[in-house]
Amino acid sequence: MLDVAFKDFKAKKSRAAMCIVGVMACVLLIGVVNIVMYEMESGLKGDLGTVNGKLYFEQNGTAYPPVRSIMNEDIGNEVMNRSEVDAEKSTKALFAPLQGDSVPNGGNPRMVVGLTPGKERAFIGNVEVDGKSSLVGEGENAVIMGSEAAKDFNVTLGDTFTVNDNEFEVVGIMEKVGSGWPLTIDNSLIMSLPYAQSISDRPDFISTVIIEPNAEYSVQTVENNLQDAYPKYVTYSEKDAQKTIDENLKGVMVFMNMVIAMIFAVSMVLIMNVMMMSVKEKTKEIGTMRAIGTRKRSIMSLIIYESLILSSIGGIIGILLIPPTYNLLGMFMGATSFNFTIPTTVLVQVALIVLVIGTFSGLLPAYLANRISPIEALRYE
Amino acid sequence: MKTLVNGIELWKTYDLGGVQVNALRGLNITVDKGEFVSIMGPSGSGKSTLMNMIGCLDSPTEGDLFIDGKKTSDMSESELTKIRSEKIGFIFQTFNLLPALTVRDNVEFPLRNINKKLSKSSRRKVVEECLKMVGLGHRMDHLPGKLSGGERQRVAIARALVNRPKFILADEPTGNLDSEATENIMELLHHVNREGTTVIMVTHDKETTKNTRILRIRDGVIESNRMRTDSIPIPYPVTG
Repeated sequence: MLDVAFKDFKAKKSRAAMCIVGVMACVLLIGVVNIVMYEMESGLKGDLGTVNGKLYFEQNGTAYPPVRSIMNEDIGNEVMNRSEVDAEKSTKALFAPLQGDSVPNGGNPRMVVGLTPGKERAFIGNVEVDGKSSLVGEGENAVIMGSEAAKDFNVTLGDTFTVNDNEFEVVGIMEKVGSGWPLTIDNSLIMSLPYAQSISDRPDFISTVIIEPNAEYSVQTVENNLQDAYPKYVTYSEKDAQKTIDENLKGVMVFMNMVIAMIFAVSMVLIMNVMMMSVKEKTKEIGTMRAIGTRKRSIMSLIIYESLILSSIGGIIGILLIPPTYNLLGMFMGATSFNFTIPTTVLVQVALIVLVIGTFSGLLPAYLANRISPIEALRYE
Repeated sequence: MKTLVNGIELWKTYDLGGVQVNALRGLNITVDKGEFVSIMGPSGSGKSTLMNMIGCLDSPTEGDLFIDGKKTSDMSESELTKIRSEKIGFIFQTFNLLPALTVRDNVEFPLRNINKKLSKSSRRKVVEECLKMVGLGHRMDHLPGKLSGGERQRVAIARALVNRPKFILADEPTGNLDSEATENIMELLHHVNREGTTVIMVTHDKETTKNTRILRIRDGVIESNRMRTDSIPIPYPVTG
């Protein structure tokens, strides 16, 4: 019956074209909204990826970045000396907003991240750095800049800049990690811990200890041991990072999903309407088919196939138009780089939505077509 | 001769807003294999109701109807659908071809409904044979909209024959045709009948009842039943 459905579809070109354009617009919207959500989530995951497999030892509640946490450096030294902690890969760290820095257009605040020189990887993980990725042997005011921070201060490798009478020398610039929603790494200025303490007026204080557990200890064991040893302190782990992602995106996701649900419903109604019209127009044909012995199941397939053809064509065109539309929107919002690939997850989601729209919007018309009495249908003019 | 259609005491009662209307009132009918039967009668006499029943589109309220020896009065809808696809060929007054399909696809359509697994090439061969028999071998790839009324009805006849049915049920097959096309279609139907297919036809046109057994219906019963013998029609010229 698929071939018959296709011929029927070809015979009603203008109606089919209108329906396809409608579905295409809906798929396009759903796809773009999905990509926005995907980018937001992957942005956050990129920023919080630094937590993977590590623990942030904090005070004053769990949070990332741990700007509200403050503890004496001695506690940090104590933690660093514990047997569960891989001292080579762990570091004391200070997180503080860059003082005297005015953030344009309500953007994310630039963050001072003070680390023990040589332990930068404890924070930046495998992020690629243009220039120096270590502060060892560099001047006390050397900084490794996050991609967004470097862009905001308009600096390149070797430049110096001053904020609040503090001078910084750029020795490295990190690649962009959080795609689209930069929180910490992209907005950070990594510098030596003593310099960070000095410019933040927090001598002898740190925010956290970034802990890489020793090979023989699991993250969970280290977390439990630290909780037992320091009941007033807390640890921030991968689980908490996921919670942070969920909390940050909760409201936005609910809103976006509502938008998707509405577009989905509009799309369904659109195809259903066209299919209803098609069934009405085809009443006599359906009656003839039934009279000459076509089974109800075949009539149902015919209607559902037609609906699937309409949604698939609209869907495919819509999917093809998602990247240019997304990039065009990004261009209006000031983006300078373009990406013409659709993330596989988004592609699968949109394809599934198209399939569901096609099948379900054909169901009611197919059911109604099946209820047509062949005797009545043959009389229908 | 083997009986193909046997209706015994057929009643059909419709409930029209609380009023019981009897379309058939204990009608008896028998059609033997190989016959050409014309059913005539005024509007409202019960012709269409009888045709729908013989065509397994409707069931009697009372009485028994046997098609090719099988009692259809108690059959389920899917069983009736199977009988329609395998044993009956339908021809309609308004041709009822599927407009989006070519002549070839229209004729092939009933073959989709039967359970016999025919290969595509065998299906094509059967379709082409049928279309050549009705003289439309040269119009196979045309859409119905491009054909004349007579040609469309010939496509409908080919469609009705393609499943090699036990009988053809024709509902005023010449009702929408001019006299020349009417003559051609009647010649074709007689040709099909001579080849062995039983034909049951509803008609208002006396001219089309030559050499057929005429059943006259009035008020839901058969009023008369007689054989009309005229000159033997000219054999149908097979072309295409």
